[in-house]
Amino acid sequence: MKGEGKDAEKEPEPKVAEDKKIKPPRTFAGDLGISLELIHNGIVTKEVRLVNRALRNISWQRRRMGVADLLKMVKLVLKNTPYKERLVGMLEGQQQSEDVEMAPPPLPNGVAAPSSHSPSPFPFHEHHFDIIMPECEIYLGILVVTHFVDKKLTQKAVSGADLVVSRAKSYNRRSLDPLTARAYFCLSRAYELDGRLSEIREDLMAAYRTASLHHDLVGQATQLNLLLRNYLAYNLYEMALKLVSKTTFPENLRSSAQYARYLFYIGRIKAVQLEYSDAHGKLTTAIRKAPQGPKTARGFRLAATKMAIVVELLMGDIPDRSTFNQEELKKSLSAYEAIVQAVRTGDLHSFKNVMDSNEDLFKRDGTLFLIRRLQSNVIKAGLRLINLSYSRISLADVAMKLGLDSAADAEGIVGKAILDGVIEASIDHDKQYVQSKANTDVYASDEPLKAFHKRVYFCLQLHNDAVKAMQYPDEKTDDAEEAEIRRQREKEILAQAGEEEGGDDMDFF
Amino acid sequence: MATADAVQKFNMLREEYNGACDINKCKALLNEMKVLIAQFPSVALPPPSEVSQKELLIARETLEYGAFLSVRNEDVQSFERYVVQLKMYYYDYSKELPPSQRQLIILGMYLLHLLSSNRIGEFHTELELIPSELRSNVNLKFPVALEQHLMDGNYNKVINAKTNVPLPQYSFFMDRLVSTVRHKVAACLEKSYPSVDIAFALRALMLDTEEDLKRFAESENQRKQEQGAFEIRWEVKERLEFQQVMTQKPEISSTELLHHTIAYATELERIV
Repeated sequence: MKGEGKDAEKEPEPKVAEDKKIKPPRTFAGDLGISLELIHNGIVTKEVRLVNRALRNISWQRRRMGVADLLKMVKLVLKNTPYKERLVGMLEGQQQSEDVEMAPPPLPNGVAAPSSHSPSPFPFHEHHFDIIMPECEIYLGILVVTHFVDKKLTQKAVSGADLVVSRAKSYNRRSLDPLTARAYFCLSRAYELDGRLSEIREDLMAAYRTASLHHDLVGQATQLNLLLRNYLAYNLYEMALKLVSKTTFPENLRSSAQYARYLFYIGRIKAVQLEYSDAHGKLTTAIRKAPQGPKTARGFRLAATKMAIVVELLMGDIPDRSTFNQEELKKSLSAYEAIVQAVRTGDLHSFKNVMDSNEDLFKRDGTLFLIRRLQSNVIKAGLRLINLSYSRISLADVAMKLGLDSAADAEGIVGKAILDGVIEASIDHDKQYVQSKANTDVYASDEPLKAFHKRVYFCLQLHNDAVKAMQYPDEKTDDAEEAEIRRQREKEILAQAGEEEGGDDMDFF
Repeated sequence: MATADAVQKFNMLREEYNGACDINKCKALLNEMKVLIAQFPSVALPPPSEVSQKELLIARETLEYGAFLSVRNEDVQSFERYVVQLKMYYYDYSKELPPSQRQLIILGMYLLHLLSSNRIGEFHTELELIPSELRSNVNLKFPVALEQHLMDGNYNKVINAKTNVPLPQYSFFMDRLVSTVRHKVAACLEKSYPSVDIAFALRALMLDTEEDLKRFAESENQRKQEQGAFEIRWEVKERLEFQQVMTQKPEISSTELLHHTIAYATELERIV
């Protein structure tokens, strides 16, 4: 906070570097410079958005950086502190082990090295470092941990994440909030890979409390999601539900990525508790809120789509065919398509076959327990078909068609289906047959009214949400300088919109 | 030292439970035990400084006796409380403690209890907590299969299950489950059949005599009258008949329509 006030008058200066940034070629060092520049600008102008953008660059950087690059940057940017020493120590250890593995030093590192030495691709003014040293420390720390995570060095990732998070906690700067949130994210990921997720539950809880007290929206959203993920990883649905009911997801949060994840977790909880229509609503919104690019967040969308398909089946609906025709998801959804086919035709045998042959897949996806529950839906679908094709059929035949053990079993099941309104029929116990009733006229009831109301209501809701989501420019626009700033900002928004389309991989895993 | 005391009391409790099993005596012992357990350093909050396996084992077994006693005493609520406490030992300490041989029985009973109280959502939440390799155990398979039958509407199988309960302790919950199921069957019967013969009705509703059936029919009629959804009346003659009570045709509720229209108007006003 102090730093922000002091440097407010320097404001216009860093803008120059901004314009240059689109220039190719992108190198790791150059990109890092841009990120730090963005963070600096963000703090000086109090625009959290810029910091978020810097964080979004991580997904580009993580794919290009090598240990040598990282090591160089850490040495160059950070001041001498025990924190730096430990980061350097970790990186050097990693570098040595890599060198041992492959005798000639890896080529990409060698290529990147000279470019980071030459001053031009690193457009960052050194004196800026002083003001945002804590941010630099955490940003680089995040990069280091991300690197370890990517390289599956779980032990290192865990100790690195511990280090970064404790360092972030030691500062009391609100400008660090988005970075801290990301650091926690890395922490959770590292522990998850190490299979020790339950150990950090208390830490996350404390961090959530701190974030709430500081009105740190990003922090709140991140911690809440991490906690939910933590609980769900251990099937602690009850605890997760309690957490959800006691907390609210921060409104006015820009990042729809976090919101999508939140919805996804809630959808899962609701699905376990048999509240299918609720769950389905949450899951479809989650899919809609997730980034739409074909490559970004594919895993997330896949998981959410799978869950949504099964839940929709459980509700007694058949998912749209187009769900399975999405180019990038098509292959992964084939097992689910088979399930849908089985449910649609009401064939208990083929359902069992599909379930048995794909059991491992479903288990991995965490949908097995839901698919097990589908059995009664398969029966219902089968009954519905029978009901449509026969006006009168003996119970023994029903049992045979559905693959049930006895006519007595069939009698109970038909009874329940009639009660649930799945079929319109009556049973004659003495003569052992099911007699279908003529379909009642729905247009004589208030069903059309309800359906119509539901649609109108949806449209109105959509309109209201759209109005709420609109952004208006700030009130005062008299100053020439402010106009300049505003133009700048609009440009950024445009650029950001373009980038956001690309989405943020990192927010999903 | 609390532990030495507790061990002594615990042995007394175990003897009493396995021997004469006087419920009141056991309860008194249990209460004393619970006070002692609360003082164990391993159990106390905030997080235990050192986890003593011995203390935790005693605590766990005491609670298990408590759960069994509540079942014997037909006290469902206290059973639920014991199970909630036990879950900590079963799941959170699963690494520190050897698994208890009573664990699956108690969890199975708990699942049955949830099923018999028609708390299907919680049933599934609870089931998800149980590791999949344990689920093949016969004590747990039983409630899981029952749930499947209930969901399918296969009441015939539920009735059969009543006669081959895997453990004597389960029968208390089975009896409760039967009364829940009875009401579900009743709802199915009246919707699906114009009339059924008495013998079938008795079997389907799990009743013994015609008198019971008459009483049940009476209570059904009364219940529906009170709830104001009196569409079908039960009558026991030579057969059990379900008579349609004449109701008016469903009308389009004008107030609802009014509300909707006014709401649309307000929204439109806001848009324009």
